[in-house]
Amino acid sequence: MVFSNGVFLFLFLPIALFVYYSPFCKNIKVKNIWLLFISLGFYAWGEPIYILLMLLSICVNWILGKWVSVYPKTSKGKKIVAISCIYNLGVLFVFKYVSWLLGSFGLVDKNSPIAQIALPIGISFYTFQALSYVIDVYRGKEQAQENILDVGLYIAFFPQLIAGPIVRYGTISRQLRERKHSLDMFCDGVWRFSIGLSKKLLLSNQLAVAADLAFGRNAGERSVVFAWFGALAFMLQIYFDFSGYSDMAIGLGKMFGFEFLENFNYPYVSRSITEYWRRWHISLGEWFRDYLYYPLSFGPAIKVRKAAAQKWGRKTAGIVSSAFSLFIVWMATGIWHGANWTFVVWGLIQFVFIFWEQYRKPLKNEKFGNVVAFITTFLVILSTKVIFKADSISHAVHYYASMLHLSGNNWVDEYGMYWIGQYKSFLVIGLIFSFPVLECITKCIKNKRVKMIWNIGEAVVMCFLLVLNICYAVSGGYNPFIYFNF
Amino acid sequence: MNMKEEMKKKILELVEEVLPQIDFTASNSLVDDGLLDSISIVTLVSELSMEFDVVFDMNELEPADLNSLDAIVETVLRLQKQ
Repeated sequence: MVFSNGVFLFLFLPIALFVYYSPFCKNIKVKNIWLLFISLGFYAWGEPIYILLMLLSICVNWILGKWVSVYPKTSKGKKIVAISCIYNLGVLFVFKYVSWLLGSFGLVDKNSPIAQIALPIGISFYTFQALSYVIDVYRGKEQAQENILDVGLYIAFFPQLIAGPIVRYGTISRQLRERKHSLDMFCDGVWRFSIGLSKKLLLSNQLAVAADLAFGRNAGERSVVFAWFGALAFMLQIYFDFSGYSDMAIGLGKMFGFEFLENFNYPYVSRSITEYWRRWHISLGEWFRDYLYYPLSFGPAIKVRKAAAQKWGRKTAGIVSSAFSLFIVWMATGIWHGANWTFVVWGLIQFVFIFWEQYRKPLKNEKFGNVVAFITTFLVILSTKVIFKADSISHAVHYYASMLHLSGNNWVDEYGMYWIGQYKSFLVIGLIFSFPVLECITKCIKNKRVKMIWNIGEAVVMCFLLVLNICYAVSGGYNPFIYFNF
Repeated sequence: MNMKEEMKKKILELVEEVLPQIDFTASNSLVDDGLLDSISIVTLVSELSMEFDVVFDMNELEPADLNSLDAIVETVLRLQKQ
């Protein structure tokens, strides 16, 4: 089930909210049981068999959490964490990567049962949540949850279950026991949900058509202008798709009294790839930082650094150990996104830029330097989105060839110009709203009266968008979120 | 010069060499304000552990331990005693 379809909007959500706020669910424990019940129903709607895998994940991680809480920060605790890693990552490996790896090396044919293993929706997200729970209990940062139903709700809570944000147990452990419900918070939630829905239905879904048209064309028939238009359309599509989903998840959380952390902060304003990753899918970046980058850097990387320092000196040792940790982290981030060589290359590109940015020197003229940094970062992000979208490395290479006028294609063609004409307004609106334009305007308004008119205007526009969204949801076909595949 | 001052001088010289882009004397909330990001934290911790032969436990380390030059000095002194 997706948030943007009619069944969710007109049946699931109203029933979920009605029962949640009804006299039957006065007690927080009953509220949690209801939320767990509907979350499992939400997941079972799309994955009637793989729900068993998620239930198993809940049981295993609850037991491991209880077990590791007896031995925090000890070598025995470390072994329990290792069991958790083997189980969680093992399941992820089997369902996400085995068929791809074996297929890549020609070890299984397309019709074999292994090649037919389907990816359970959201497995990458809930696996990481479950893993962080056990590790945080081991680190002594969180207490083990006594009630399996609360661990179940943490892992399976439907707003963030299938496409994030990757919520940490520490963020909602208190909220599972006690949380406030207020009309203000509920209205904030509806507002935020509506923003996310608008991003998805009114922008992302439209831009998706333009991107698909460009990416689906043969390299020689795709004009340079249309190739750049398609890449830009996808860059905006994926931003509005994923940040829209996060907005909806945060909004839904608020409707049920939960506060999740932000997952996006206008990533396209970044002046470096390092900054971009502080603004894009923040929960994933922080997960890899806390559960892979730091453990690597505080452990094996220091040993590498010491050994390298004796051989080549301090400076080179720093470069070698930094490359060692960052390479592993960005390869893992790439592969997390999908079982495809395109994501391996994509992760490698992120590594190269982030590693290089540590050692580059800023331009002397700060203002000019900022402009150059913004433009180059934007172009790098745009280019990496091509390989992210491409079905294969060769597809990406052909697309780059089209962008660079290297595939015998025209600069401009009638086909491309027709579709650019059709979708240019979505692209312009998308570009505007991918930057903090509204925030800047709101900040600039000092006059109280003007501010009041602005706020009323915002509310009117939001009501209009909500009606428009409903029309789209009723009439629109099935259009899943990109991150469902991860 | 007492031990603390001497350590502070050594650490300042070290960070000026390995993290010249960060002014460690400018803030008392280097981590909280984002002046020290994850890569800088790792560089700092690695260099400190090599220079002063101390072991940082990532499960125990808090942002407050690295938020200022004085806090870093205290942390290294504490780890040396362990």
